Amino acid sequence: MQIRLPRIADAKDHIITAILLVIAVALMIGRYQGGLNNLRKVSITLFSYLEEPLSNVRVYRQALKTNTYLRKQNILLLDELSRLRAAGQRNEELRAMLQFTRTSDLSLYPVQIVGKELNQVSQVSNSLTVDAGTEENIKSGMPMVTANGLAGKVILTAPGYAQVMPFFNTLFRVSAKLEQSNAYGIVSWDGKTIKELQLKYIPQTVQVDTGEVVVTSGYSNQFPPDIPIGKVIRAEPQEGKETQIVYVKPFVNLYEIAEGFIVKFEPDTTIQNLKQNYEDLVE
Amino acid sequence: MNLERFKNIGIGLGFLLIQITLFRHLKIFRMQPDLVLIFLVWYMARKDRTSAILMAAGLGFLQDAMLDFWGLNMFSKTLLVFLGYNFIPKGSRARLLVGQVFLTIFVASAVHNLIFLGLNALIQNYSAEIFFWRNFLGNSLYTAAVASFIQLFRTK
Repeated sequence: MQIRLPRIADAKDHIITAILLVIAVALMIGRYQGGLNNLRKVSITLFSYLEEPLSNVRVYRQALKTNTYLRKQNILLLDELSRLRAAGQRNEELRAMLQFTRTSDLSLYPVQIVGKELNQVSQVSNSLTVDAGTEENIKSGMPMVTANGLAGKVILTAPGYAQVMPFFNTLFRVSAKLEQSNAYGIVSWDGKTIKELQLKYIPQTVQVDTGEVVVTSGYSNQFPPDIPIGKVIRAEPQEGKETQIVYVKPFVNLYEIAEGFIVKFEPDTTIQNLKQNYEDLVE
Repeated sequence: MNLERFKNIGIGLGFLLIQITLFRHLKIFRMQPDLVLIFLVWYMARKDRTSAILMAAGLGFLQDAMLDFWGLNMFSKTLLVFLGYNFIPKGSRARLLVGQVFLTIFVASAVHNLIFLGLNALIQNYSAEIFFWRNFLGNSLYTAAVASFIQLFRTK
């Protein structure tokens, strides 16, 4: 029997592999030892040079991600800021209204404006709709006010809702007086600008100061007296007449109000009867 | 050392460079492909066993040096080439199907990762950082997918 021993050439791969594997294991074990540690430093340095250009790309990509994230955050924060501002403004308005209810002697019913038509083209159709009507004993002719002053008067009522004619309506009229001189006239709107109202029938002999407050007179028996309307901007004499037109900037901004009060004011029937009797007597 | 061997070493270093600078960062769910392994399987199919073992050891060493793994890749790749050399289809002039490439690379990669992880567990070094299944199956599948992709666009 002949035994064939393998030649070294046949086992070459096994030997090489074994040596290489031993080297690999030696590397694993001796990685923290002196010589290899220096080699590690060199390799890490070389590796950092290779990585540097790519790290710029990574930094750029990261910056893009951060940018997107920050933009989202920015939008969210802007939205929150906007809501907080709105809430703050509303809070102030409600505080003013609360204060108004405390100080006012009038019988007030709080309402929210649910519809607003302030069309400058057709001024007679300017109106506000509020969320209170006949069910809440709201009646036609009752004034609507805010904490700042007069806003309009109720002209139509329905269950749950009422239509209010604001002062920016060419059909609106209210008896008013100058707070200092007590000279009275009629406040109306000529439909030309939303910045001012006109107080008419004030004699030219009456001195009108800019900034003077105009309030309801109460003489018409339609509105309670002393509800602020606005302040005087200027006065112009009417040509060929002995009266002047006083231009009044209203205290209430109809475009901004969202709520108000209906003053549960009803004309005094005794005064109305007396007026009627007087007219009958004169005729 | 002839010109062809130089060329192959150059290609191998190129693969290593691309692996370290680019593919290492193309992670999907923290899995990454191994381009060096793909090159070694390709090399095994064309060259003799000794050359393949030496190439695996050399590239594995350089990969370890760059990634501070020292010995792990060298060991795994050398052993893989030694064990798997006879199983790799050689000298086939016909273009392999994508499925064949995928399967070959997947098996090779799985064996490589298994050795890598086994060794890793043995030396108790990176075991805390490496999640076994992700590295074993995930990396193998990803590597095989990349190899299939290369096969799809490879010209003769």
